Amino acid sequence: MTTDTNPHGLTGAYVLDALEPFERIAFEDHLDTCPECREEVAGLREAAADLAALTRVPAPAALRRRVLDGVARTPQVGRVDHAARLDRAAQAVAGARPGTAPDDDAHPRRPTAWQRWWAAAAAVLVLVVGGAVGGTIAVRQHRADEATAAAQAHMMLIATAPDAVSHAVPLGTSHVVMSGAMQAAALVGEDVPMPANPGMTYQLWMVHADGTTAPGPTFVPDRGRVLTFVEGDLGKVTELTVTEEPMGGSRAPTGDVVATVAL
Amino acid sequence: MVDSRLHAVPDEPGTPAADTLLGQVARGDAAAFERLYPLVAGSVYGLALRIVRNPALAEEVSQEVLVDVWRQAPRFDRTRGSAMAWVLTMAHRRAVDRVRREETQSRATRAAAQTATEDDAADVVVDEVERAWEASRVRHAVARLTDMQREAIELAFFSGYTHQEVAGVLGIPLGTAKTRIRDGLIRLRDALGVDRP
Repeated sequence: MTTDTNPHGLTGAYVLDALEPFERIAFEDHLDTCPECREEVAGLREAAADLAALTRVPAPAALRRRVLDGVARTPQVGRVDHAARLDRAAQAVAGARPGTAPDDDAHPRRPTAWQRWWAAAAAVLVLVVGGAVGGTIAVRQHRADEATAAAQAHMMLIATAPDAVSHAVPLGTSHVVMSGAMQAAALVGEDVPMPANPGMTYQLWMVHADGTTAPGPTFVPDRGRVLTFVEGDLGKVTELTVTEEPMGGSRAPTGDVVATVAL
Repeated sequence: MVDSRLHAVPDEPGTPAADTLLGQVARGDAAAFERLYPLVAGSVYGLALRIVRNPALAEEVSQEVLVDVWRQAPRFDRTRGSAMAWVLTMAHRRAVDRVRREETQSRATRAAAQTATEDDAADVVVDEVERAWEASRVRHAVARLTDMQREAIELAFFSGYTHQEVAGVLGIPLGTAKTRIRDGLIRLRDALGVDRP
């Protein structure tokens, strides 16, 4: 059980690109704060590269010309000041030790550290759903800077729970990741469009088998990105929906449904 | 401007030459890229071919990766790892992304193909003494793995399975799959003596 929920145990699967997308995102955030995992990942990558070299074969002759033509047409990315990046990453994470090993950068397709947008997000809502259907709901709202580290840790715990399941959400490139054992779910997305109606917000709803609906958190994408959580017994939830609602959210859905996920 | 014949480098993966050259490529040196190309192209193509199992597709993936090596070179930091690991990390990610998108090729087909070609690795790299030595070094390291570790790593690394799929195929709990992959890679790393940050 310990190894199941321990992010340190994911280094191998990460190096082999064997994590689910949501796990990879969560693990890369973990890497920003864990020098031990960064070092292990670096070492395992060298081993994986040696393994990959076993598959070496002569490349087709025509490939060279096409690659060189592509290179001639392709501008390089700007140079990266690794020391400055590290400094920013260290500052972004409360409790990070200055001067630790550089963060992992070997996956060039990673856009930016998620911490930065988490830190920039207006607020992170944590919603606690009461045990009874339609029961008392407590909403705790944190300032973003206080919530960043907690949100990160929370996302990691859900994503790495042994019973975690992921469902695609047709809202940009989004997934909802749920764990019955954790009694929690995270909605995480990229390329999410802004609500169609100006001044509106998205709101998540939990639809139960008996047709009742419990309100979830509201959220607005920050540069296309979304992260929000639901906590509570989700066992009776059969469907998640997203609607557009007035700022602050509603007690019951009033706007058009923009996404539906059957669980 | 630069005559590449004046800069002959040994054709062997993972040499410091590749690290130096990629550092030069990072500063926009296209001639250095031409010299880097023969050091990495065979490994990139071979890995892509092993994963996507289609020569045309492997060539396409390789082209994307190698142009991306040029594009992203300024992000390479040699204090964090070798050029070879950096390049092959990109190649693996790209090939796995491609194979996961290929809906036409069922997972079952890939699993069968994996089993059928498991012994191919023994024939891939034999022509050069140095390469043969390198390959035998790696194979000796692979031989130190338990069968279960090797199986899990092969499914993830060469078939592009997620660890959840590895667990499903092998009929083992997810936590066990994660542990097998990590323990196997650590053993491989230690046997290869590549435990450098």
